[in-house]
Formats: sequence, C-alpha cells, structure tokens
Amino acid sequence: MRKFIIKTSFFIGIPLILVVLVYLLADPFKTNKKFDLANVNTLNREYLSTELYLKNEKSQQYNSFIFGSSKGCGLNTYKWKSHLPEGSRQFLFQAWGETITGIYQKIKFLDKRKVNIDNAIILIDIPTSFSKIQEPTTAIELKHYKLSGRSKLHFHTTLFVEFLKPSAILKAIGEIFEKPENKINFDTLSNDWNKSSRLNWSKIPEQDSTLNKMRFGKRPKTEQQSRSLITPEFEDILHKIAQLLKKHKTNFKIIITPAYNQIGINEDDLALIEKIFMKENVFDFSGKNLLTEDKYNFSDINHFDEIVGWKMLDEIYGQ
Amino acid sequence: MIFNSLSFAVFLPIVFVLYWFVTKSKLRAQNLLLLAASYFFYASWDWRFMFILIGSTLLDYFTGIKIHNALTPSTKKFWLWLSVSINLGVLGVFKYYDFFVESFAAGLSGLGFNVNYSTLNLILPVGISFYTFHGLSYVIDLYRDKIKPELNFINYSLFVSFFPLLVAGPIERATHLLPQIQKPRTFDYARAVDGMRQILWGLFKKIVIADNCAVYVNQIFVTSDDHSGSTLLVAAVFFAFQIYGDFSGYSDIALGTARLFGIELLRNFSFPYFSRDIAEFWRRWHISLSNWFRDYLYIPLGGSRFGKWKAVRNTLIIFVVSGFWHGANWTFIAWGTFHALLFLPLLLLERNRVNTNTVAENRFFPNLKELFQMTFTFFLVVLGWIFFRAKDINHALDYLSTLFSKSIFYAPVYGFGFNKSFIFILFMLLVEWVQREKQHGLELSGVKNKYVKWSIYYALILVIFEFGANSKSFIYFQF
Repeated sequence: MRKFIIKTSFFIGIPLILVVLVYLLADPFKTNKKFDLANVNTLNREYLSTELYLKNEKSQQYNSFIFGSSKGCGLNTYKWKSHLPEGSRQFLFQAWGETITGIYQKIKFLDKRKVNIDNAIILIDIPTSFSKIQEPTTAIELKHYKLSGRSKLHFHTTLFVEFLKPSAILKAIGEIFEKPENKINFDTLSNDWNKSSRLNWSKIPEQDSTLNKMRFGKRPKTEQQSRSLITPEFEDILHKIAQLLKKHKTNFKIIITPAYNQIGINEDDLALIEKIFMKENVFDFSGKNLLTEDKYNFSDINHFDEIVGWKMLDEIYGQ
Repeated sequence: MIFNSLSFAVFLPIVFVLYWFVTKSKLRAQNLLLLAASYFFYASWDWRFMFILIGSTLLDYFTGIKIHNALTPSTKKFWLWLSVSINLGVLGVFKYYDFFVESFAAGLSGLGFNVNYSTLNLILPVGISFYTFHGLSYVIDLYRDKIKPELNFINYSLFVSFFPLLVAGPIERATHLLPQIQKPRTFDYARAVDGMRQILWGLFKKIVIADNCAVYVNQIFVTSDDHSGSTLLVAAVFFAFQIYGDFSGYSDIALGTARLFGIELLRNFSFPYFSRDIAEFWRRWHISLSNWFRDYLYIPLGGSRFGKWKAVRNTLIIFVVSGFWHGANWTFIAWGTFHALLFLPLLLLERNRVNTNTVAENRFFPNLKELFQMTFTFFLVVLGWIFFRAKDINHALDYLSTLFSKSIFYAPVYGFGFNKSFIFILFMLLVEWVQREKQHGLELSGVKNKYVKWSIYYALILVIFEFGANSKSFIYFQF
C-alpha cells in the first residue's frame, strides 16, 4: 500500500506540481496578476472585457454598449458615437464566440448594477449566436463568474483544466522565458480592437497562398440560407432581452452580421427576431449583398473589416 | 459527477485514502464508507433520484427476506412477483409510459380516431435500468435458491449502489458481487496498479476516441439529408467506434475503479469488433446484459430446450426486449429485431457457437477468411447502429436508403475532426488487436521494464489531454 501511494504520488504529483507552477508563473489567461487589460489578448476575451468594464465603470459611466462576438472588432465605437446623442459613453462588451445567451447575461448584469443602457447594438452571427453550450469547458465558452453566477473556484478550475494541454503548457513555458511583444490590442476605455493590431493584408502579396487561403477560403457559389436555429429556449432568451431593453427605454439596433460565406439567416428566424424586436430595429446584412460580395471587405473568413462596420452604421442610422 | 471530470478526480483519491487508511480493512467500516461514497456519487447527479434508488433497495431487501422465509411455493412466488412487478413498474413509468401513450395515440390516429392524451414528461433517473436489474437478479436468484438473503442492509445496499457500476453497469450478479462485499478486502498492489491502467485505457477510449468521433457523427447525422452515401457510411462507422469507446471506456473505468477497492466486477466487453459472426459479437458486447437476459428471460421461457421454433421465438423475444431496454423508441426495437434476424440463421443452422476461441489464436495476423468474417460482421453491426443513433425510424430508413444509393461511390466529406478520429481509431484497433487475449487494452503484465511502462502511461496521458474532445456525458447514461 505504501509503495502504491508513493509511486502514484510521484507519478502524478511531480508533473502536476510543475504544471501548476508554470500556470501560476505564465498566467496564460491573465486572471491571476494585475495586467494592463488593454495589452492582453487571450481566448477568455469575455473575462478581459468584463474586467475592463468593471475597472472603468465608475469613472466612465458607460451608457452605450455593443454586444456580440469578435465580429464587433469590425465596428468602431468612436464611429458609433457620432450617431449617438451628445454625452454618450460607449463600450464594446464583447466575447469571442459570443452567443445570445452570453449577450443576455451581460444585459442582465448591467441591469442588476443599475447601469443606464441608453443605446445598444446587438450583433447576431449565424450560426454562432445560437450555439447551445451545455456546460462551458473551454476558455472561449467560459463566462466571467460575475456574469454566470458560478463560483470563482469553478471559473479558475475550468481554466486550469483547459490549460492542461501539452501544447498550451509548452507555449506558456516559452512565454515565461520570452517577454511577449508589447502591443496595444484594445482601447483602454472603449475596449475597441486596435487597428494597428490587425494584419495588414495590403502588404501581403496575393501569391502568398497559405495566408490568402486562410483569408479567402472557398465560398458557396449559390445563395444559401441557414437552417432554422432559434429553438424555444433561444426564443425565450430573445424575449427576455427585449424586456430588459424596453425597461431601459434603450435605443437599440439588432444587426444580423455579414459573413464571408454569404449564408443568409433563415427567413423564419428573421421573422421571429423582427417580431420580438420590431422590424424597424432589425438590420439583416447576411446573405449575398454588396457588402459581402467584395471579398476585400473581410479581414478573414470570419470577420468583416472596419469599412463594412462604418457602412453598416451609416445605413442603420439613416446616413 | 462523471468519470472524466475534475470532481471525480478529487472524489476518487479521497474515498481511496479513507477506505484503506481509515477503515483499516474492517468490513463494516469499509462497506459503510463505500455506501456513503456511492450515495454521494449518485446524489451529485440529482438528489431527488436518491428516493427511487433507496426505495428500490428497500423493496428488494425486504422481499428477498420474505422469499427466503416463505413457507409455501405460492407465497414465495407472490413475493417474487411483487418485487418484479414493482421494480419493472417503476422502470416502466419513468422510461416507457410516454412512449406507450404516444404510440397508442398514434396507432388510434392511424385508424381515424383522434385521442387527447397527456404524457408525464418525467426525467429518467440516471442508472435506473441498471440498478433495477441488479435488484431483480438478486430476488430471482433467491427464488431459485442460488443464494441466501443478505440480512445486513448495508451490505445489500452496497451491492445495489456500488458507485463504479451504479449509473452504467456492468450489471452485476448477487452470486458474484455479494460474496466480495461480505468479506473484508485487503490491498493488492498488482490489482490496484492494473486497475489504474484499466482506468487510463478507459479514459483514452472515452475522451479521445468516443468524444472525437462524436464531433463528426453529430454533424453528419443532424444534416444527413445533405450528404452522400459514402459520408453516411463513414459517419455510421465512426458512430460504431464512438459507442464502443464510450461504453467500453466507461466499463473499463468502472472495473478499474472497483479494483482499487479490492473488488472485481464482471467483464462487460471482450473486443467485440473482432467478432467473426453475430453470435460471437453478442458474447463480447455488453456481456453483462446479454447474460442477464439469457439467465432471467431466455432460460425461463424455455431457452432452446423445447424445439427449434420455441428457441427462435425466445431468441426473438430476447433481442427485441434487449433493444427496448435501451430506450423508449421504435429505433431501439428495430435495432434489436435487426440483430435477431442476423442471429436466427446461425441458431437454425446450429452455427451460433462456432467461433468461441480468440480470433487468430497464437498468430499475429488473421487469415483471409477471418479477415473477411470480421469485416462482414462489423459491417452488419454498423448497419444496426444506424437505427440506434437515428432520431426515429424514418430517419434511419432515409439514412439507409441514401447509404445504399449510387452516392456511396462519391468521395466522403472530411473535416469535423475526421483525420484525428481516424488515426486514433487505427491506433486503438492495433493496441486491442495485440492485446485481444488480455482483459483490457493496457494490461501490461508482459512488460517488465518500468521505464517503458511509465513512458506508455505518460504518452497516453499526454494524448488524452492534448487531443481529447470535450463531451461531458456517456451515451449509456440515457438508458
């Protein structure tokens, strides 16, 4: 028995202690030490967005929010500000791979903190926004514990378990010894994605097939419509969002985002969203249209470029 | 709490240390601790289901004593049937009530009668099919005078609720498990080490094989109308490995965990995809369930003792009931019937006990005949799995009709983790082929070098963490 315990402890314990040390030193998800939140970009983007919001909440008194996924990087809140009433203070409250459930959690979170949500843009991506996540197990899916209501222990253990991939551990060891490049990724007040962080596609020759394949993968030749994604559960969440926006008398816009693959939202889903949020507040940029035809309007197959964001804002605010 | 979770990784060592260091091999303390741990384990799923588990335990404990003490055969039979009817009644209400009501209403509707009906929409208590059958095997064995009643309630409760087998088997027998519970267990180093190996192999099959295959399978089955026959065939093959990795992986973890506590459970899988015919497949797949139905349904019905046609009838009943045991859906009945139709020709030709040894015994390579037999049997099994996985009969039939169309010659869709799954399936098949005469894939009794063994363990652990997918449930929990 003693031999078994000693050997097992040695077998599991020593690697585990080393991994824990690497995790604490490298802090791969930037949750353990104080960081300049604008300077970091990790998979748990939601956590960082929420922490930046909380850091600036009192000083900035935000009242205008863009909710959505990484596609929000194509919208600029300073450009948005020009469409908003004087004195608006805007924040890009985003998460990578954001779902409609995550958006609802954020609006509910702001509501509980008695924040005035005077203006809002909600980005709906097809199909990501209507992905059902049973139990978040990855850094991308995991919500900040203040939004999810789960414990801090659950939050940190989920991230630690996510870290337990040999490739992630090796990368973290590399980062301990190599100082990462000091690059400002996000605006320190609005949380906007910093343009200088973007890959400058104009400098990459089109002959560079690897990168351009990543950017310009194949897309369907004929127009396609997504299958219906809004389940009764998601419909319930949409109603709850609508109720909160009504409570705050929010001036809101729902944008069905344009996608490189030009797959349009299902017409039944669109009709439902228009019914819940009123047709005049819903703007469908998915499918085949002028914005999605030009492949150079996309910085990669998942994200539209800022020029698209400007055009959308001009259109939805009637300019 | 599932086996591949952080909470189980914390739970198991705590129970292990308390079991061997605090109870100090005292029987009562060992059993009490394991029972408490088992109830905690079960309650972590949903504490409300504890009432049903404890109720079932109390029922069979008391009816067992009554059966043993009965003075007349009719009284004995009364108590037996009381236990059987209540156990199956509870199982029936939770698992099958809605199915019967809906099917009945659909049937009437087909005849032109519109019926208003309501369903119960009850959540199925996890493991109910498994622990109900534990209890039934106990009372039936008592009735047959194969065992004496267990008068110690703690011991009996532990037999029903032992946590490694509580939610997805193997379906234990009182004759096998109770004697082990009735004696104090002493620590055996070799058994504990091999138990850990079995757990590791089970985790590999579940997290790497099953969960990665699930990514491809789920995507294709949900959009099966949009894919070619070749893609559907690949998805069906991947599902065969998903369900094998999932269920046999769970069984390996259950058996390995039990061995850490000095308890040997019944083997549930014996490399079934190396079977040369369907009869052999059923001697190697979910062995505990097949044997349960053989001993408690097939033999009481007469087995094969009353002529060929009674044997055919009884075999058909067993397969259909076995299919139905898996779930309240016509697809499971179809699956069971399909296997019955494959088995019956072997029974009628008296070829159902031809392949009883290990394939390619004492050789590394199978001969051409064995290779053909294994491939053909596997293909038939894959076709059966389509019913198992499909959402309803129409889906299964559409799936099959597309699979057997000319689009079977088109190139299949790759992506959704196809490459990763394919490589690991090949790896698993190779390991299990080499180890096919052993109890499990990682039984390394022949490897003496400690560094080689530890390298294998670490390599597997690294693969599990790096390439494992994120699914958090086992398929057989739904049964």
